[in-house]
Amino acid sequence: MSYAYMFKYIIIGDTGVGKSCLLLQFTDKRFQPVHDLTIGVEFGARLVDIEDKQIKLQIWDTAGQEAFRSITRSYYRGAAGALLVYDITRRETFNHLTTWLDDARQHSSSNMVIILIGNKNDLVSRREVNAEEGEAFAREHGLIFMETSAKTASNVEEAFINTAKEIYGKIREGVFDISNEANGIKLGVQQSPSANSLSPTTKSFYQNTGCC
Amino acid sequence: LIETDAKSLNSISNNSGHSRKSSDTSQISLTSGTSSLQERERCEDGEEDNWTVWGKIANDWDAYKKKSNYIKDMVRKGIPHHFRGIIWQLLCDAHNSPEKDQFAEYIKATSACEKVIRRDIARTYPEHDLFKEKDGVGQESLFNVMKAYSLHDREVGYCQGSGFIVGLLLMLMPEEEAFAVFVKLMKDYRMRDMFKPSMAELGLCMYQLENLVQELMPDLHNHFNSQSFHTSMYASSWFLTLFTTALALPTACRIIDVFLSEGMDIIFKVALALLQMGKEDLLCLDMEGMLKYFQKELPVRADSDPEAVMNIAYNVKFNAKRMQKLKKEYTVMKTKEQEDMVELRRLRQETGC
Repeated sequence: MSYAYMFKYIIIGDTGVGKSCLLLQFTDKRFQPVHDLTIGVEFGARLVDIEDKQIKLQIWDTAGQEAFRSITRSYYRGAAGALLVYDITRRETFNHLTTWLDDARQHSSSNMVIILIGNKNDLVSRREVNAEEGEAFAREHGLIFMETSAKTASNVEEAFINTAKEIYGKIREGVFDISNEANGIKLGVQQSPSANSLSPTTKSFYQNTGCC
Repeated sequence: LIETDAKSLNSISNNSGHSRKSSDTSQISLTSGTSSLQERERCEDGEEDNWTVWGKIANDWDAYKKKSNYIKDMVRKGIPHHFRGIIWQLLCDAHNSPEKDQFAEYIKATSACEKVIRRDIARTYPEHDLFKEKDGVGQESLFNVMKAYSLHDREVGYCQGSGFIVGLLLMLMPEEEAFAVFVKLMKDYRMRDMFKPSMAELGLCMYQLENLVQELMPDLHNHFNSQSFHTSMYASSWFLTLFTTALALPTACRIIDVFLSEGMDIIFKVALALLQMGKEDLLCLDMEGMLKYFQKELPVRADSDPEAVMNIAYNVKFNAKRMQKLKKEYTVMKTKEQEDMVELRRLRQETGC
C-alpha cells in the first residue's frame, strides 16, 4: 500500500469513554458493544485521502486508567495528532479534560493537533454535557471539536479526517518539520529525500511516489 | 468435585479462543480447541497414572511440598486441568491463608472502587460462557472478588488488567479461594508492584526484557530499534495479565502452573521463547507488520503447541545476578528522570511558561 505521508495519532481520555470503539469503527467500520478492556496500548491503521493524497493514519489506542499513564505517556512523543475523548453521558469524564490536556501538552510536540471528541451522542436521553460546553472548552484551548457516536458511526470518519486535514495544512504552511520523525509524520518510503526541504510550490513534493 | 472440574475444563477449551481483537477469533479458537482435545484424548490413555500421582500430591501436600525439585518437575510437565483449582492454591500457600475468612466481611462492605470495577466487568472475557451473561453468576463473582481486593489493599485498590487473572481463577475455584490465591499472587509474586499506581515494576520488567533480548537475540533487538518498536508495545499485557489476554487459556494455564511454582522468571522465559519462535518472521516485518504478528500469527502458533513453547522457555537461560544489575541500573535511571522532571517544573514555574 502506497502513501504520501504517515501521520501518527494517539487516542486518550478516561476509561470507558469509547476510545477503542471509535478506533474499531474507523478502521473496521463496525461497532462492538462489549469491547475487550484495553491493557496498555492497542494499535490500528487506515489509509485516507486528503486533497488527493493517500495518507496513512497510524493510531495508538491507550488504556484510560490513571495507573497506565506512565506507559501511555511515552506514546505522546512522536504523535502528530491526538483524539481527546470524553463521554457526553458522564460529566466526570468531561471534568478530567484539563488533566489530560496538561499531560498531552507536556509530553508531546508543541505542534500536535488535538481534537476534542464528545462521544456517545446517540445516547441523547442520558446526556450530561451539552455540545456548547464541549465547544467552549475546545475554543478556549485551541482544539478542534466534534461530537461523535462510535455506535452509529456518526462523525467518526470526520473526526479522524478533519484532524488529518489540519495536520496536512500545517505541513503545507511549513509548520511541521517533516524531516524530524519526532513530530509524528513520516514521508512515504520512496518519497524523494530532497523534498524534505519543504516548499509548497515544488510540485513533485506532493506527488505520491509510493512505496511497497 | 470431578464433575464441576470437567465442566470447567469444557468451559476453558470451548472458549480458549479468547483474543484481544475478535476479528479472527474463530481461527484461534479452532486451533487451540483442537490442541486441548488432543490433550484430553491423551488424558484418557496414559494419564491415569498421572492423575493418581496428582491425587496423591493433593492429598498429602505437606509431605510432597518438601520434595521441591520433584514438584517443580511435575508442574513443568503441566498440571492436569482437573487438579488445577486445588494445586494452584497449594502451590501459593493460599489453602489455609487467613484472608479467606475476611472475604465474607469484604463483600458486605462498600468500596470506593465499585463504580470503576463495574465498568470493566463486562469487558473481561466478554466471549467466555461464564462471564458473557450480563449480571450473571460469573460477572457477579468477578465483581465480588475485585471489590474484596480493593478493600483489602487500598493502595492498589483496583487496577485494570487484574480482572483477567481473577477471571481465570474463578473458572477453576469458588470466590473465597480465588480471592485468597489472588491476594497471594499480588503479595508474594510481584504482581502487587506491577499494579501499584505508578506501575514502576512493569517499567522495570520492560527494561529487563529489552536487555535480555539485546543479549540473547541481538539481531532482533537491532531490528526492533530500527523500527522504533518498543518492548511495551508487545509485552505489557504479557506481564500484567500473565498471558491470559495474549494467548488461549489452555496455554496461559500452562504458564501460570509454572509461575506459581517458580515465579516471575517464567514470564520472562516464555516471552523470550515466543520471540525466538517468531524471530525469523519478525525480522522481515516493519513495525505495523510486527504489531499484527504479535496480535495474530504468534498466538496461533503458540496455542497450536503449548508444549513446544514451554520446552523452549525451560531452555532459556539468564542469570539472576544480571537481572539484579539491570534492576539497579533502572532504579538509578528512574531516580535521575524524576529529579530532572522536578527541576524542569521548577524552571517552568520560574520563567512562567
